[in-house]
Amino acid sequence: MGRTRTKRWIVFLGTLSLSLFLAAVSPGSLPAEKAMDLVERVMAVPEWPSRMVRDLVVKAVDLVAGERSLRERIDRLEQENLALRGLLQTTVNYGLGTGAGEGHVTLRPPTSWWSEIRIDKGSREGIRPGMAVVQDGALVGKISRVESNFSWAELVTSSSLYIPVVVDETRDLGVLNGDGNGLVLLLYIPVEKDLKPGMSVSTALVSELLPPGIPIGRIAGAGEEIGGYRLYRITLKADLSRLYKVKVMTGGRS
Amino acid sequence: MGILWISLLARDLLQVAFSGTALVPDLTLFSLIWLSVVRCEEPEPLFLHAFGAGLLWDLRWTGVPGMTSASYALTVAVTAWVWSSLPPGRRANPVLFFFWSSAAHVLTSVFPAIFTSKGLGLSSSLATQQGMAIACLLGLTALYIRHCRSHHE
Repeated sequence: MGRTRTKRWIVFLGTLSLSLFLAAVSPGSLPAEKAMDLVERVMAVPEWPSRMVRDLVVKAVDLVAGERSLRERIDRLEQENLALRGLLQTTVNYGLGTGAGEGHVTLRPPTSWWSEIRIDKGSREGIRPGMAVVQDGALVGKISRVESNFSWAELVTSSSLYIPVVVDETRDLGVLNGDGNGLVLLLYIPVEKDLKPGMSVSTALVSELLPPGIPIGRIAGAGEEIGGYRLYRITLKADLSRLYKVKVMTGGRS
Repeated sequence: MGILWISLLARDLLQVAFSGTALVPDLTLFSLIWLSVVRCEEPEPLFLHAFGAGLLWDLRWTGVPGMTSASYALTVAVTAWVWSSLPPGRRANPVLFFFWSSAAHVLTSVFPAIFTSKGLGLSSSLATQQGMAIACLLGLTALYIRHCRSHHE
């Protein structure tokens, strides 16, 4: 009886301490990320029927509600709009490309909540690093890593992502950067430029994969002044607290 | 022990189907509580399975390996201890089973939100999940009553 109880305690404390050790050490580590990617890959096989059922239900609901054609039209118009905005800003021809692929967010690690998400679309669907990720037409981030059937996107709130942007009303150029805790700042705007709250900010020319003119958000207010430049706080147009589905803009030129 | 892994797979498949819509009740936790109650005198093998199931869930969904496995190990330990402490005649108590399972589900669902301090914005999803969990638990309690009666006979 005593030996059984001792064994029970050893097994319990062993599993509990190993769990707590893993929870303390593994988040954000490379082996943990590799393990998560491996599990995603393995589980993709048994999860396939569920995914199919979900997509079928969504399509059926769309059809019943008569939204399908409207959505396609909106997508087409968004693409046209982006291409036209691109032509206004640069001579690079982005074209209409293959359109925007919709993906579900399959993982958002709490330890890097404001930095990255994983979506269930990968290189098989034409996703490439650097492509824009949008929610309801507003930029939420950029594809950072791509595997065959999933990819990781870095969010605009990430402290390591810098995105050249333009203030739509004044055409002033700046750089957008997150603080890793949900705040987004507009950098490198000279102090003499008097930007007002409410002015909209969209992407400027970055690369051939991230087209200019994607709406990002609005100026919320002025921040501190550093070396002749003023920081501005940005309110994002996308709702990062409700990030379930995103679109990847696959229309760029490689 | 197969019931535990089947429930884990069922929860995973349901979570994929409902992703972006709702949080699925923790069916794995219900299986663990069931197994801990039924095997309250010798729960040792359960710890390892609870650890494995929790770790797999964390790697697939939460992104914090060890978080769910810790809560599962704790649930198994406390449930087995409580049931083994009860006199054999009082173990077949469906009310206790229902409230115990409900409390365990609430605590283990809220635990990740507290642990990461990032999930508090999901309060409405959490409330929906608890509502669905109560419906599942009513069914499980009915099964428990049946199980106790068949073993009593």
